Amino acid sequence: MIAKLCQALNIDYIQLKTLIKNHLRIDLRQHKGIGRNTTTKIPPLIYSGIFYFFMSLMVSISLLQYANIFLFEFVIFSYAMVMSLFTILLEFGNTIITPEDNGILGFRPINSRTYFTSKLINLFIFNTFLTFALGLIPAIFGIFIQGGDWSFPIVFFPFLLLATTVSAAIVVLIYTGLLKILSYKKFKDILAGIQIIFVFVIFFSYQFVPRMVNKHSFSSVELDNSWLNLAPPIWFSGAVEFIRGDVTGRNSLFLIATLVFSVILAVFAFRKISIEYTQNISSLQEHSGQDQSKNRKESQRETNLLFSIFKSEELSAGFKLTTSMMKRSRELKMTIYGMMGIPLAYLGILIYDNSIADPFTQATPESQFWPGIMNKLVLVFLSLMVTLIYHNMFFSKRWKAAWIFHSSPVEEPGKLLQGVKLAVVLKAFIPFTFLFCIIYGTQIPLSHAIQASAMFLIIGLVLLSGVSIFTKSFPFSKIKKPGSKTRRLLYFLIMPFFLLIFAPVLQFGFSNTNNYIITMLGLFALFLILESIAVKKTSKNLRLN
Amino acid sequence: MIKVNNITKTYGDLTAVDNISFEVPQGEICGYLGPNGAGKTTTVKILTGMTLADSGHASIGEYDIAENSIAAKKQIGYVPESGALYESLTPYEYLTFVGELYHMAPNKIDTKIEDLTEFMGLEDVLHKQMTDFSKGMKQKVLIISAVIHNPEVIFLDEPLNGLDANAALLLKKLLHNLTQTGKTILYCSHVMEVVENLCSRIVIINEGQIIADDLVKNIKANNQEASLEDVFNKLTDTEDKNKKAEAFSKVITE
Repeated sequence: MIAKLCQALNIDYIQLKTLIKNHLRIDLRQHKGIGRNTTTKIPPLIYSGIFYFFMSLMVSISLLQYANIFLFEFVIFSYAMVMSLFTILLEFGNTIITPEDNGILGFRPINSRTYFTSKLINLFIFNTFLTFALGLIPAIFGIFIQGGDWSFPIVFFPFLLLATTVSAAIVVLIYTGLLKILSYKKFKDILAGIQIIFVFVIFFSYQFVPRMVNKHSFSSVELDNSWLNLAPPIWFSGAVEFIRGDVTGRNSLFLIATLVFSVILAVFAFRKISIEYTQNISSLQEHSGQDQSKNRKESQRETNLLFSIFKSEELSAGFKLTTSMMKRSRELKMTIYGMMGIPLAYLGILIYDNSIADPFTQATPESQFWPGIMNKLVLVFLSLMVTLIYHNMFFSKRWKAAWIFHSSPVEEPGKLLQGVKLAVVLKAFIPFTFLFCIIYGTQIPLSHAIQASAMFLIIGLVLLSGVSIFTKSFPFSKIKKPGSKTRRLLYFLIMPFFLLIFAPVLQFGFSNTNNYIITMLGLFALFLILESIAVKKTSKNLRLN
Repeated sequence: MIKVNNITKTYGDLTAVDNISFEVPQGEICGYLGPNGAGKTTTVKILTGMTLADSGHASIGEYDIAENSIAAKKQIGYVPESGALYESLTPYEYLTFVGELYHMAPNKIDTKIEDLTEFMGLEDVLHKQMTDFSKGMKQKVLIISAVIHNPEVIFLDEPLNGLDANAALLLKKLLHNLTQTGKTILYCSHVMEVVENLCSRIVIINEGQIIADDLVKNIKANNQEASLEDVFNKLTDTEDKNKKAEAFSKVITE
């Protein structure tokens, strides 16, 4: 029957099966990079699953006591649809757009629709796995929420899958639509922008939804607002309630809207996009490199200056390679700016909550201990971003080029990595600290904002040096697999618990100006010690590699 | 079998292929030569349906590659210069995948994989991931993947890349035999010696335009040169190589 359906849709069934099998095999198989320690042991997809499981647990708990079943469904559907968009934008873009495929499959007799369908199904399989991780806890919680019962998970889960699939389809349409009308360069630029915005939106909404629920104690009456009826998540909620037996006119309209919307998306994707898909993919590879000669002088001056300060060719080489990659690799830019989006969203939340307080006044003996500490720990939490950016400097689509590090007589690989860190600090972390200082300056006295930012910077350096001790790879020597970005988000959520170690240091540092200076000097000394250990340890690690 | 009529292809300001035409009849092995960036790979990409020409027509057998690309692609096998393949697969998985794309029966795929990998000396690594393979081993897999479905037309873009002397000799003999069974081959290479020995006819492209299209002996006679290498040098580069090499080595030893 499936074969006949495929035939009717001009899809080659045999090719479709083999393409899906092959793509899944490639995506899920362990990858071996260049060097001893580059094999990925756990598929990053598993990390994504864990991340979404915990996120949905947190959202479900925050809704449990406030929401009725309709509101619960609405929030979960909204959350799941946005998360699905986010995941595909950040992690599975390559599942849809793989220019490299053209070199391997472009001359094979595969029609565009067959190839497009194989990509869609591949994406659907990943989406189903993530939907399961996202929906498992809410499906169980729904039984116990006001208006819920045992039938809830059975009806809710298929609609949740449909909702996330619709989300995924919207991303596919955006991607393929952009592909059709834009040049490769513009396509990548716009995609980078969309990804950054989405990271910001996701982190903001993840913090924002529970706050809204807590503050306003939403009820289903508020969901009667007419503008809200235009949002797809409310259609899915109404459809679930209709199937569960709440047969009202409004719910039946929502059910119809759900089905019509899904069908229109599917038909549009097939009729409009699938036919020109392979041609659009092949055009992605038809672009010429840009002339970079005008940037050469500036770059040379920078390198000469660095060499005169650090007297290390290896450090200069690491710095130069990393800055070039940060300037020219869109993949890297997307990740770096995405990473910066998280702390910015977090700052947005703190401003919304009126939670940014002057760390100096919060450290007086009469102030409450915990609010004061939490306020200062934000500095530590946000400065974690620099370690995530550093971590990204080890991945590249051109990972094979890393053979150069193994064949060159690199005497001190630790110095090379120091160059990588220096590039991260100068090109990403310091500009971000400046932005951080400006935002802080709008909330607290400017002189205190500058001092807090300086503390933020030095904590970031300490964390960066500490994390870099464990580096076991040369820069840009590993390949990213779907799910690896979410794995780092998981790290971002878990790490703050370990950072409580900084609490007494910060409490002491912000108690008065003298203590501030002592703390800064102490942290700077710690940074120098850690950096010295990092250079020695990484040199040892990488020489053996 | 291969027909190219007034094909032009541009990338931005660069005209990669400029109004070229040539034909390769069935059973012929034709050498396609040109310096780096001359337009060889672009021509092959158009002929294999990987990219569309801005103007002109190209066909494989009776099928126009732009208008009836699936039927045309069924007729061809291709060894790309890029050497692109899915390295996280094993040769067995990759070749099975290719065979299935051409609707070959599973038992036929297995038999062919077994026989062809044995010819190429890959039987011991048939079930190992290709990530650790040498360039030559990957090239052997690519060559098998280009012929496993018994195509009528074969495009080879630097097929000897990475192959050892024995494998290279085997491939040359294989190509000779294939043309005798009626296969048509377009052979792109920089290695003049191989092209001279293997191909009866050559087409030379330079800066996107065809500058020679004739039998090897005629081209050599017309240009009054003893070897194809000298002809190629005369037609595509006027620099004094001795002087250039001298200057180059000076820079290295400075």
